Amino acid sequence: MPALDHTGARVTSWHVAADGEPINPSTPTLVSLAHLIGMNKAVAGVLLESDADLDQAGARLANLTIAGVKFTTFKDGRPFSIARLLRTRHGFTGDLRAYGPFIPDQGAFLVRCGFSSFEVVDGFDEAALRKNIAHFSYNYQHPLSVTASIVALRQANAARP
Amino acid sequence: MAKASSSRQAITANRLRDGAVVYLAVDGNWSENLAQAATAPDGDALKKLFDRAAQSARQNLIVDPVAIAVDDVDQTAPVSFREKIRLRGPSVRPDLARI
Amino acid sequence: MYAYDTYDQTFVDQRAAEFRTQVARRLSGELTEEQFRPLRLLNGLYLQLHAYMLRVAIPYGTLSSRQLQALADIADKYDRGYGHFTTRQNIQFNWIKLEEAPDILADLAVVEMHAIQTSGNVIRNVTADHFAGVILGEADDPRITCEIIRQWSTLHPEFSFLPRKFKIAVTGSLVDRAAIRFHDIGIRIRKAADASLVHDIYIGGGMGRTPFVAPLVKANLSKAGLLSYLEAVLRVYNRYGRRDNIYKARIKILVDALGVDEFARQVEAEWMHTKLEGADLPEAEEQRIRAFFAGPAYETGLPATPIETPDLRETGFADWCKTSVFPHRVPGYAVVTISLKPIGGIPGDATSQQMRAIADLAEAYSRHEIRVTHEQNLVLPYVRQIDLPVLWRKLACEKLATANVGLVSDIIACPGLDYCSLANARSIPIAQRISERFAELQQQHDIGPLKIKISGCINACGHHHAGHIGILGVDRKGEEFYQIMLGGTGDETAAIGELVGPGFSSNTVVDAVETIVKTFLDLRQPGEVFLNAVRRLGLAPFKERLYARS
Ligand code: SF4
Repeated sequence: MPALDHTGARVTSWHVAADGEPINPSTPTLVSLAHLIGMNKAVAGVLLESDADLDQAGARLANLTIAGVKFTTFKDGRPFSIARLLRTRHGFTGDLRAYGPFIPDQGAFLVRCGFSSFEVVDGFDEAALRKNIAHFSYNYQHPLSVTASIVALRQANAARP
Repeated sequence: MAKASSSRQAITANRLRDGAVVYLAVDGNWSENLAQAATAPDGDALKKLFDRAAQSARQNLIVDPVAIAVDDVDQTAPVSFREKIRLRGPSVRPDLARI
Repeated sequence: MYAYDTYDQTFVDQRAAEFRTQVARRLSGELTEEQFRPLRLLNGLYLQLHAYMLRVAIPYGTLSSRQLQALADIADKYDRGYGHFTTRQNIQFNWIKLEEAPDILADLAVVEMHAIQTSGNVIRNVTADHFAGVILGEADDPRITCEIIRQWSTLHPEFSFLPRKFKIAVTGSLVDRAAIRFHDIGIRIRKAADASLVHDIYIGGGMGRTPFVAPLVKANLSKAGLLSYLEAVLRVYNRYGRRDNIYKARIKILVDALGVDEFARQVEAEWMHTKLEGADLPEAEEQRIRAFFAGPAYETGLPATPIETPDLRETGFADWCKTSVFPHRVPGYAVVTISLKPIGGIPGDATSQQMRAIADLAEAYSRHEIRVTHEQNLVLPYVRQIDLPVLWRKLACEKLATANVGLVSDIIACPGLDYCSLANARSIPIAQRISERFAELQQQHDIGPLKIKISGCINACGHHHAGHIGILGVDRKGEEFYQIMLGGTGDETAAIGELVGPGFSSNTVVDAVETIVKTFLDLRQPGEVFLNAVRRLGLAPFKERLYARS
């Protein structure tokens, strides 16, 4: 299964460890939230379900370098909230990857909520994903991604002499 | 009121590109005219029609194919009220009626 | 009214362009119907009984003459010469071809319109009091708040895949013309004791299978904290709203299950964080948006009443003034409601010719502005009183001067089984027959204010729960049947109508409505209006007359 970064370029997939499986520190690996909480060793990352209770993990999330959030269906939008919470409230600054059956037409929403890479199935329309991410020049909301919001641009223009 | 009796079924759908109400015709094409529809007297025949409809859906000709009961006597009349309206057009706009 | 800047315009143009590529991908087979359906729904395109239906957003029901003209052109060019104004203050076109839908969105973009978020599990078009900005005693023009919410909610990255659709309504008045307590979020803007603007936030109202009148969840929310508070509400809903059952997925079920206090506590806890995350609008941006709603420069010293000429007195002008003309906050002006409910007509439908006529009249007599009401009528908000007679004559020429606004024949009806693929029964013919039964205008005036609202299925697009007389179409063994509810209202005394008893066939439902009205006329106290009589009498006398053995 390929993985893509937020520009749509191919990157390596991460290993998803079953609970209890020994972790190889040299392989980027995700474990479940329950597993993470039970472990006292440092681990690379966590794979969160869409109903994850992030508060359970305390301060540990901030120290992770990779994390994933899993969609159950593309219509279930909870991962968007989880991603924003990870970024804004739990101090996660690493690579955040979307898992599960999200669709290419959600690309920009994912990036704007803080996802930085995507685990996709074979046959996934990568071109459509790239297009979607790059499509809009402007957005209204305060963003997590790099582009300024329309509100911020208006402010900046008004401030110009 | 005596209910129309029905033992035959036809397949209807909406055409993908314009949404028009269409029926699977005897020649395998999709017609806006229920009189040209292929009707199935039993489950096996209906399944064959459905297979053809599913193929048309995969070919992006139509969407949402469903079987509808048609009147035994007048095979150009659907039994359900909803299908009558689909066939004729909105009851409140006779000026726009299809038939 | 609000005018797009280059950012708004680029955004809407790009949205239309995006949909063009999505439609092309669908027509070529790159996208399956299953993949395409949610994309077309996010652009307001449904597949109905006879064709595709496009629902065009009319943000908070405000239109310019130019926009209404463009809608008329779309009706002629891509549809069959008419459109249907809905209870969401939107317009629907019923005969759309998928292959032409991208062209329509492009045409709409030219006049600063779109179909974004008129469908799907997203924050829908925000609705407002249709008398916003022109009515006496308003704390603030609610459309300023609506426009702020419109921009904030447009393609919101976090809230575009909610458990279910999400509807917000705003009023700036104590009199509620926007049915705020039947919305997922209802907002009332008030002036606080220190004259600052505050918002009372009602959450968890709605109709459908399980109707609720929204409770007050947050009082006195300062204007500056509105968006971060909404963000907190939506986040709690997005995370914890039910997704296992479509009938239990609206926020009203979550509020009810948690209880108002616990729900409010969770939102408050979330708000402590979202406040700090930058969603709130900078004051300067609020001022920029506010400036668009300052209203026109009014003339001063205008005569306060229309000049009555003898011919006017005889021809029904006075009746029309009584029902269609409302006081304006500026002396010498009036607010005019145009009835889209001619006797025997289709509620909310307007032909392209009528749309053009109204656009022209708005141009001449109402500063190019038109409002759409959730009761499926149109409003001219800035009419000089001295222009009323000529306006009335011109409206009458287009069959747009029916003097029935607020009366028994001013019926809300959803499209029902004549158009809608979800319907169980027809709505429109029932409305037509009721209005014909009460065609006699003097009789209507005698009956007084009475709101009949009809839905063709439990989705309640026709607001039947909030009708003084509510009618719900159901399917009974393949036949159309109608349940009747009494005592509902969407105003500031919001209440859900109560089922009066077993349903009626389509042959008997109009008689039943007449029986209810006659019962009211027999039992009312002097000056009493229908809703108050039902509240005083209860259902018993109505039941007695309706179900008496003959
Ligand atoms: S209430 Fe039902 S029948 Fe009427 S428009 Fe809504 S979904 Fe269709």
